Amino acid sequence: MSRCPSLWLALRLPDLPLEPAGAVEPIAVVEGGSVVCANAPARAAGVRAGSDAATARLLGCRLRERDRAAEERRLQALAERLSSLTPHLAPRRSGDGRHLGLLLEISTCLRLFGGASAIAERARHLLAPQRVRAALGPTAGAAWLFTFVRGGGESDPERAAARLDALPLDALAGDHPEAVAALQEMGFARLGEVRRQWATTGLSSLERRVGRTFAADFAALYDPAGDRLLPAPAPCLVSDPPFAARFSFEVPATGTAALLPPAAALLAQLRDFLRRRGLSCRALCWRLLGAAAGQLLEFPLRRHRPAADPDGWLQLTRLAWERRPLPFPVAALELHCPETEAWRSQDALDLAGGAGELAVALERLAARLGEGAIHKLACRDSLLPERAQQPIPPDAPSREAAPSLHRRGLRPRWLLPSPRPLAERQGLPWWRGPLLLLAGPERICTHWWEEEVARDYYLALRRDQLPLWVFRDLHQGGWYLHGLFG
Amino acid sequence: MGYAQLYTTTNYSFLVGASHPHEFVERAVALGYGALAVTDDCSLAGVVKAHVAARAAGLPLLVGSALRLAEGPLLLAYAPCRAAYAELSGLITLGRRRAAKGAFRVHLADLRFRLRRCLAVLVAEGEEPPPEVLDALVRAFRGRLWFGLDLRLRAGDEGLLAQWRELGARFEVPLVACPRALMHDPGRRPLADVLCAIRHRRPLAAMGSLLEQNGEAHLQPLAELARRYPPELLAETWEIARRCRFSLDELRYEYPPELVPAGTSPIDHLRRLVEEGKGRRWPGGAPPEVERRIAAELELIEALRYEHYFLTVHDLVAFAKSRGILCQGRGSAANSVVCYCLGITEIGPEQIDQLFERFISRERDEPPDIDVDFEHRRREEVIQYLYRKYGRERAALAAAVITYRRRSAVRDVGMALGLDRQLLASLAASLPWWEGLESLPALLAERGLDPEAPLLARFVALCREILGFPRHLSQHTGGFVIAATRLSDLVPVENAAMPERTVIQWDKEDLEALGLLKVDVLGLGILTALRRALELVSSYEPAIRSLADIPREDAATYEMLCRADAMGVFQVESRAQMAMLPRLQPRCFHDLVIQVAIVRPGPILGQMVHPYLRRRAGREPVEYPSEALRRVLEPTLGVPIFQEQVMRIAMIAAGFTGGEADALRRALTHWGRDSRLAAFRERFVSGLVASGHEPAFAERLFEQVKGFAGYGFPESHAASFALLAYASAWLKRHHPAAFYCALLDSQPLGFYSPDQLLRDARRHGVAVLPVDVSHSAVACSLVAVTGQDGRVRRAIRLGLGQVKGLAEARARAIVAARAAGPFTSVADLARRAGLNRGDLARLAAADALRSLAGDRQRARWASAAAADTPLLADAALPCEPLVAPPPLAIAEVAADYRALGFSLRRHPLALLRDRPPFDRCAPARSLAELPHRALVQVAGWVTARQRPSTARGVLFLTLEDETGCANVVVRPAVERRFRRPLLTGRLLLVKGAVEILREGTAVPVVHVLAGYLEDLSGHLPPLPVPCRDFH
Repeated sequence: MSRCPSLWLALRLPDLPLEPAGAVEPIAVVEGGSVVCANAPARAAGVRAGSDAATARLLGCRLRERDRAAEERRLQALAERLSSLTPHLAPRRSGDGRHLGLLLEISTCLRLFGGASAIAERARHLLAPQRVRAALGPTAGAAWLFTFVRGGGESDPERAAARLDALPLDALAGDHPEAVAALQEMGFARLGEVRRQWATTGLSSLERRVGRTFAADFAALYDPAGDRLLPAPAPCLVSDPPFAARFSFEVPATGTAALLPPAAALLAQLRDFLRRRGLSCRALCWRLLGAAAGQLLEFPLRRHRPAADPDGWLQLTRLAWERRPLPFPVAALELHCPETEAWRSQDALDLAGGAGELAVALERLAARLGEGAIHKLACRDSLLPERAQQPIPPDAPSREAAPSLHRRGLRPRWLLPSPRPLAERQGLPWWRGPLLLLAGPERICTHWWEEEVARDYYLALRRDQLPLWVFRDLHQGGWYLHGLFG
Repeated sequence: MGYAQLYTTTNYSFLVGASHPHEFVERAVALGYGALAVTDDCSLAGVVKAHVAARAAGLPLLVGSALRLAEGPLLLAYAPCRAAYAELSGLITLGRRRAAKGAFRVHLADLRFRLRRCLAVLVAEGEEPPPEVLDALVRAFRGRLWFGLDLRLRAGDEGLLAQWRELGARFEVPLVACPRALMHDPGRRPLADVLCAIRHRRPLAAMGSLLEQNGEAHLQPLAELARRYPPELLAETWEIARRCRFSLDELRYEYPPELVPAGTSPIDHLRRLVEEGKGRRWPGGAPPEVERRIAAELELIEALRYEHYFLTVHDLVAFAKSRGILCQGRGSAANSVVCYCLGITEIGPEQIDQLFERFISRERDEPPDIDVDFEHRRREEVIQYLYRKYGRERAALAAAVITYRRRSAVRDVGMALGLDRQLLASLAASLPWWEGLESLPALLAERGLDPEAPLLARFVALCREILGFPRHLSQHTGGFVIAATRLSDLVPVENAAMPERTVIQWDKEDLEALGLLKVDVLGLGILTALRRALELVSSYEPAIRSLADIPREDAATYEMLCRADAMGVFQVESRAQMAMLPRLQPRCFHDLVIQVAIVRPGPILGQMVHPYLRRRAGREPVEYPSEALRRVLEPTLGVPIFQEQVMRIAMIAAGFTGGEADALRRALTHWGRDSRLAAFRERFVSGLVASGHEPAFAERLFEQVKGFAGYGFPESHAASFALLAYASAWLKRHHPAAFYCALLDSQPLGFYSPDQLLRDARRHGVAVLPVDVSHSAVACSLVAVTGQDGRVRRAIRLGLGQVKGLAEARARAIVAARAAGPFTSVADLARRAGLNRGDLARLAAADALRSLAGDRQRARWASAAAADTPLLADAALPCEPLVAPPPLAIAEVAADYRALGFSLRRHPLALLRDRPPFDRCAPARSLAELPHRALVQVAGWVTARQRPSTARGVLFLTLEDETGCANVVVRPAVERRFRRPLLTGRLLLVKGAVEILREGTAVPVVHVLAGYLEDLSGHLPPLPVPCRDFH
C-alpha cells in the first residue's frame, strides 16, 4: 500500500433549496406537502424541515415549491467555483433527496493550499454566502456523515472508524432506507454493531440479507479499499465557463450606430465558440457599460428556437437598440451567453418555413417593443365574459374553443376590458343617447365564493343603430356597457 | 287547472340535486303547484321519500326519471299507470346493471322497445338531435311525447322557443314547460355548486362553465313562470299530470309462491309446520294456553296474509340449521309462539310473558319485522342460498343510503372551496367524534384562521348544510327483498360495489313506508364464537354439543356475573353493564333479561334504574299502582322496564286492545311527530278513571309511561339476547380456555380487543402459548397441558391466523407441510411450505419462528438469508450467528403489537412502572382499597372512550394498566379543558378523586372522577394500541 492515503472534504449545503437566500421574511421550501428547508426567520418562527406545509403557512411562512432542476443547476455552479481547489470533486445527494452537498478529494493538494483546514476555509469563502457544514474524513462516506455530527471531521482512519462506530444506523437511512429498517429490526442500532457482524461473519452475510449495494457502501464507509480490488477513481469534474466577451471603446460611443460593428464581431466570436462545442443558444444578453460607475444597460434577447447565426442575432440586436436613445456614452460592450444547448441539425433548416416567418416577425416585434408587449388572445373556461378570454404570450399554447356557454349565447366580438358604468334615465340605460333593450335578459350569477357577480345581460340598440351589450348589476343596481357588436 | 313541475332533480341524484325530496314537496305546496314530478337521473331512489311527503301534504306526485341517452338527447319519462311504472323501473334496472356502480347507459333502442306506456318529454337543447333520432322518438312515442322547454335565463335560451316551436309544428308534437329544479329554494345555490365541484373532484375556481351559469334552477313562483313561458306551455304541464294516475301506494308485495307445496294453501302449510314444531318444543303435548295462543296467532296471520313471510323466514332458518349454522331470531318476533314453534326464535311462553300484539297487530299498517341473526362468518352462505333459490332477478339487498357525516363534509366542502388539503385533514382528524360540527369554528381559530372571514364562514355553513345529504347507495347489512316474479317490476335494481351483488334503489325506510316486506339476514359475531366454543368443548366433553346441552340456571355462572367478571360475555360486557352487574346482581335468567334491558337510554332517561335497584336491594318498599297492575309489574318489582309492560298497562288498566296498545307505544316512540298522542292520552286517562283509578294517578301514570316508552326495550328482544348472554357466561365460567379461544377466532367481536381478552384469559388462569410455526394450527386451538399438581388443564395455542398480513392460504400451507414432519430450520420451512421473503418476514415479526431460529431478531436474521436461498439448495447451509445485542423488553412489546395486535409479554405499564411519573400512580387493582373520595393519580393506556347520549355530556374513559382497568369519568367542564389529550392521547395520566360504591353491591364499583389529564404517550414506543370509541 504505497498509495497516499486519501482525504476527503465534505461540504453539505443545507440552504441550497432556499435560493435566493438572505430574505428577511420567513420562507419555507416544500415538497410533497412537507417542509424541506426553512430560512432563518422561518426557523425562528418554529418551522423545521419535516413540518407540514399547512403548519408552516399558519406560522406565517411564504411557501415555495421545491425546484429540483434549479437546485441541480445551482449545485453545478457552486461546484465550478471550487474547481480551482481540486479537480477531484463531485456533487453529493442523499438517496432521499433531502441533503445536497459537494465532496472534494484533497489529499493531492494539501501542500499547495497549506493544509486541510486552509482548504476548508477557502471553500467556505468561495461558496459564501451559502451556509456550509464541512467535515473531513478518510473516506468520502465518512466525511459526509461527519457533516451531520457535532465536532466536525476526523482524518485519522482509526479514530474516524471509532467515531463512525458510535453513529446511529439512522445516519444511513437517507441512502438505504430499507436495509437500515431491516438491520434495525434485527437488533442493530449503531454502525459499530454492523461492523462487528461484518468482522465476525464476513461481508457476504450482510450482502445476503440486506443487499450488495448496502454492503458495498458500508464497507467503503470504513475503508476506501474495502472489499474492492481497485480503489474507485475519484470523480473528476471538468467545467466550461459560459461565453462572455467584451469590447472596449477607446472613445465612448454616443450612438447605437457605432455599437453595431463591434457587436457583429462579438457575435462572430460567439458563433465560433458555440460551433467548436457543438452548441447553440436561444437567449443572450448585451451589457452596455458607461464610463461612470453604475452606468449599465442590459438588453436580453430571445429567439423562438436555438440559433448561432450572427446575422439573425445582429438584426434583433439592432431592433432592440432602436427602442430608446442611449442614456450615456458607452465605454464597453459585453456579450453574455449564460445558457447553451446542444446544436440540432433542424435548427439550421427550419427558418424558411411559413411558421418560421411568423416566428421571425414576432421575434422582431418583441425585440422592438420589448418582451411582454406582444400577446395573443386565448379562450378560458369561465362563466364570466371578461374572464373567458385572456392575453397570453405569443408562443404559449392556447385553448382554441370558447366554453359552449359563450358560443350559445349572444356575445360581442369587442368586449371592453372592464365594464363601463352607464347613466340611467327612466329606468333605462343611457350612453350618448337612450338605449333600447332588444333582447334578454341572460342572467349570469356566479363566483359567490370570491366576489359575487349577478348580472342581467341585454342586447341594446342606440338611436344610431349601434348594437351594444349591456348589463344591469342585480346586487348594486346600475347599468354597464360590456361590449360592442360589429 | 294547475301547474305541474315536471323536471325535478333531488339530492338522490347524488351530488347533483341540492334539496331533499320532502323539501321540494313542501315548497311546491307553498308555491301553489298542482303536481310535482320527481325525475332523478336514471333513478327512482328518491321517489318514496317524495311520495311519503306528498301523501302527507296531499300533493299529486308524478313518478319519473331523467334519462340521458347514449345517443345524446335527454328524455324525461313518467309512469301514468302501474304497468308503465314496471316498464320504467325495468329500464332503469337495465341501464344501471350494464354500467359500473353509480353510472348508467341507456340507448334509444331500449326506449322504443321497453317504454310502451310511459309518457316522455324530450328536453329541448340548443343542438337539436339528428333527424333520424328525432324521427325514431316521434314514431315510438306517438301521442305520448312532448318537447320540453327548460328556460332559465341561460345563454341561448331566447332562440330555443322559436326553434322548437318550428320542430313541434313539423313533427306535430306539443310543447310543454319543464324548467329544471335542482333545489327547492334559491338559497341552496352555493351548495348546488359545491356538489357539482365535488362530483368533478376539482375546486370551484377551476370549474369554469361546468357550473350552472345562474341560480335559477329552483322551484319558481307561478308569476315568474308566467313571465317566462307562453300560457299554453304551462297549461300543457297539467295535461301530463292529468294522464299520470299512478301512485306508489298501488305497489303490492307479492310473495314467492314456491315455498308452499302444490295442492296446499299457504296457511295449511304453515299450520302443519307449526304443528311439527310444537311437537318438538312440547314432546308431552302443549299446555292449553299455548294451544289457544297458537290458534289466535295463526288466525291473525291468515287474516293479514302474512303466511308467506313466516314461510320465507322459516325456510331460511331451516336451511341454516341443516348446515349447522347457528341462528336465532331477535327483536319482537320472540313474542310469537308461532315463531318459537317454527324454530325462528328460542324464547318460549315459559320464559317470558309473550305479547303477540307487540309483534303483529291488526291495527298496525306495517308488516312484521323478523330479524334473524346468523353466525357472522357464515352469513354469506345464507345469502348465497337466497340468491340460488330465488335467482338474482327476484332477490336483492335493500340499499343503505350513505350520507354526509362530519368528516366527509369537511373534506369534500373544503376541497370544493379550495382550502388546503392538509388543513382539511387536520380539521377532520380533530373533530371530536362525539359532536356535530359545533367545534369547527373553534378548530379553525385554533389554527390561526378567522372563522368569521367570509370564505370560512361559508365553509362552516356549507358543511352544516351538506350534513345528511346522500352521497351514494351502499348495501344494507342484510335486508333482502324477495319478489314473486321480477323484482325490477317493483323497484330498480343496480350493481353494488361488491362483485356479484345487486342492490335495490330503496332503503329500509322506503320499504317500510310502502309496506313491502324484507327479510333481515344479519350477522352476529357471538353466534360464531358460541359455535366454535361448543366445538372445542365437545372435543373433550362430549356431553356438551349444542346450546341446548348447556345446564340452565347455573349458580356459579350467576355468581361470576355478580362480580362483574363479564369481559367477553355477550351484551353485559360494556363498561356501563359491568358497573351495573354488582348492583343488580342477576341470580336467575329473568334477572339477566332485566340486566340486558336496563342499561339502555329508556330506563335511564325514564329514571327507572335507581327505583328498581333500591327495591331489589330491599331499601324501598315494592308498591304497585293498583292491584290490577300487580301482575304486569310484579316481575320488575313495580317499575315498568319493558315495552310490553307499557302495552299491558294500557290494556289492563285503560281497556285498550292489544293493537291499540301497540299503536300507543308507537305514538309514544314518535312523540312530537305523532299528532295522535293527544287522543291516546285522552283514551288512556279516561280508561283508567273508568276502571276506578284517581284522575291524578292516571295522569301521572301516563306521564311516566310517556317518558319511558319512547326508548324502552322490548322484553322479547332482551330475552333473546339474554339467552346468548347466559350461554357465553356459562362457557366463560366453566370452560374458559374454549371460551377465550373461540372469541379470539371470531374477531372482530364485542367491546374488547384480543389484547384485552388475552390478558383477561390469563387472569383467569388460562395459559396462552404463542404463535409458533412448529406448533400452531391456522385457528387458535386448545392443547392439554399437565400442571405441577398433575392435573390436566387446557391452554390456548394461538393460531397462525393471528399473524397480521399472513395470507390464510400460506398458513394452511405451513400446517400441511408440517404434517410430513417437523421443520428443521427457517430455510426448511420456507422450502417445504413455499413461503416467500414477505411471509418469512411477517412470521419473524410475529415472533412465530422462535422454535426454529430463536428470538425475533435472530429469526429476522435467519429468515432474511433463508429467503435468499434458492429453493433446492439444501437447508443444511449454516446460518451465520447474529452478534447484535439482544432486544429490549419494551421494543419486544412494541414489535408484538405491530405484528399481532397484542402481546403475551409484560404489560407496557409494568415496564414503565419504576419511572416517574408512573411510580407515583396507583395501580388499577388497588383503587378499591382506597377510602371513598380519596385523591389519586392513575395512568394507563386508553382502551375505550365512551360518551353515551344518556350521560349528559359525561365522557367515560377506560384506562388499562398491568393490574386491570380503571374507569374514569370526565365531566364536560374538564373535557373542554383537556380536549386534546382526551382526543389523541394513547397513554394518559389522570388525577382526580376515587369514588367507590360499596353499599348494596357484590363487589365495590369504582370510578375516578377526573380533574386533570395529561398525555404521556411520549413514553411509549409507537404501539398501535387498539382503542374503541363509542357514542
